[in-house]
Amino acid sequence: MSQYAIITDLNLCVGCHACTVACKAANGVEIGAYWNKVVRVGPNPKFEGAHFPDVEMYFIPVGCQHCENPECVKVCPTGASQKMADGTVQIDKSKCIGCQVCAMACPYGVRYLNSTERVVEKCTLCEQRTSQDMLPACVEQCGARARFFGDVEKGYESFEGPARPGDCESRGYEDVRDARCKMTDFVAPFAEEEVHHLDNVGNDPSFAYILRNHSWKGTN
Amino acid sequence: MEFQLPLILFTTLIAWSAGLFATQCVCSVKNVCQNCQLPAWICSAALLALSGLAVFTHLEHWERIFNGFGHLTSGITQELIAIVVLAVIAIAYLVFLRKGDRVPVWLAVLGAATSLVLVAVCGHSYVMAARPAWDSIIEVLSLVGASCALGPLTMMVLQGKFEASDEAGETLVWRLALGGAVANAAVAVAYIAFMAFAGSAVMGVGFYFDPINPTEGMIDLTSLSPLAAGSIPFTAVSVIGAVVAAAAAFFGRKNTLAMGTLGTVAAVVGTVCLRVLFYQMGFTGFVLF
Repeated sequence: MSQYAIITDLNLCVGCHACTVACKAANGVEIGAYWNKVVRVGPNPKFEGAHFPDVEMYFIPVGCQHCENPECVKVCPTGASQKMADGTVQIDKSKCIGCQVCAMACPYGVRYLNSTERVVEKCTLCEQRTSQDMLPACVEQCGARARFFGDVEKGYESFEGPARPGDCESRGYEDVRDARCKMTDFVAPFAEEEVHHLDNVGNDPSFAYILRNHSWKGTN
Repeated sequence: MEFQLPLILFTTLIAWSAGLFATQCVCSVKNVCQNCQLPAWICSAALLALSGLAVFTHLEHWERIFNGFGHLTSGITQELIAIVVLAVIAIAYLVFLRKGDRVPVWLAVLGAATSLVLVAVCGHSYVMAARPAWDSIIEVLSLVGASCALGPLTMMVLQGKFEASDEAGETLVWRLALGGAVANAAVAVAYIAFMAFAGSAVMGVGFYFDPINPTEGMIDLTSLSPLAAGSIPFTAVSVIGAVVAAAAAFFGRKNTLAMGTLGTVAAVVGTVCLRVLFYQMGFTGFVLF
């Protein structure tokens, strides 16, 4: 069993929205819907009673967390929302009746009704790309190389992002596009308690966020 | 979250329909209100049909409803199963009514029990850990309470219309209406209180900003309460509706038609407002957007 996911190093994320734009372009996400959305958290005081300049903030990209126990799958009446063998949560649009109960059951508000097709949509973790051994668009286009794609079951070592052009065999387009770097080789060292998840209400989100030297605004 | 009018009507009409059928089943067990049986059955069936129409308008692709239907962990599937079971029981019930026989006690008991199960299943399908204000058995009880008020109050109206003199029936329905309406008022207030405390389950993140919607302000955590300015009209009307329904039931011992009508209208208005409030309070624990 696999559990594909994305880990984002929030100390690297600069909030450039390249992931949001890449997602829109790769998946044809309609206007008003965001399968991947970046929110700024802060500036918040670093400690009780602190004032500027003792403040901190971080950007956090939020999309479907491809949960281990997805509530959206449990509540779907037709089985349109499914947990796949690779651990991702996918929607069979031909089965979706547009009841939107899945959107109600999602703790993160990342499911959208496509007003043209009248079905619910969300991040697919770019299955059309990952099935061809490509990275999800938001990972590939991350301006800060803060996002890494891999299999949670195989550990942090399996997470990869795009390599730096200088590390590629050549500067040819395909070589640069296909070259990868390991997350563990690229990001600064982090402790286990610096790896966070969005608030868990029993759904066990599989996406993770690394945040060092900042207070995580959440319970996990 | 934005309120879903078709679902508000669906849940209200289901509670009304099932409550009325359960009441007529209880009357049948006690062998009273015989003249009301057929009108009550027709009203109940009409309300069920209207609820079906309401929910179909909510579905974007209703034509796919049987396209793989049957995922048992889904509340919608459970509702559909309960509705089909109740429909089968109701049709069997009608057969006995039309034959002029007394409806068997076992069938009436089964009908009443299934009606309550249907309402509970409908309420339970909204119990979601993702939405703190929905995640409670009190939400289920609020819908069952509406059923307990609406059914007997409607039966009071039918009594006033179709029963010339049925002392035992009047007493039974009056007791059911009073008990149901008082219970409904109690659970409505309890659910509003629960929703008021549910806001504390939302963890704030301090300051935040959504650059995609730069003109939108942060969500005000104090607005996540039935007592906040935008919600208080619905809170007030849902409580007043439930209390007026209970008062109408109390004073409807002899004047069943007028008080039953007043009580039914008040209970419907109160239930609809409580369901609107339910959607207004349907925020997730993740408040960033």
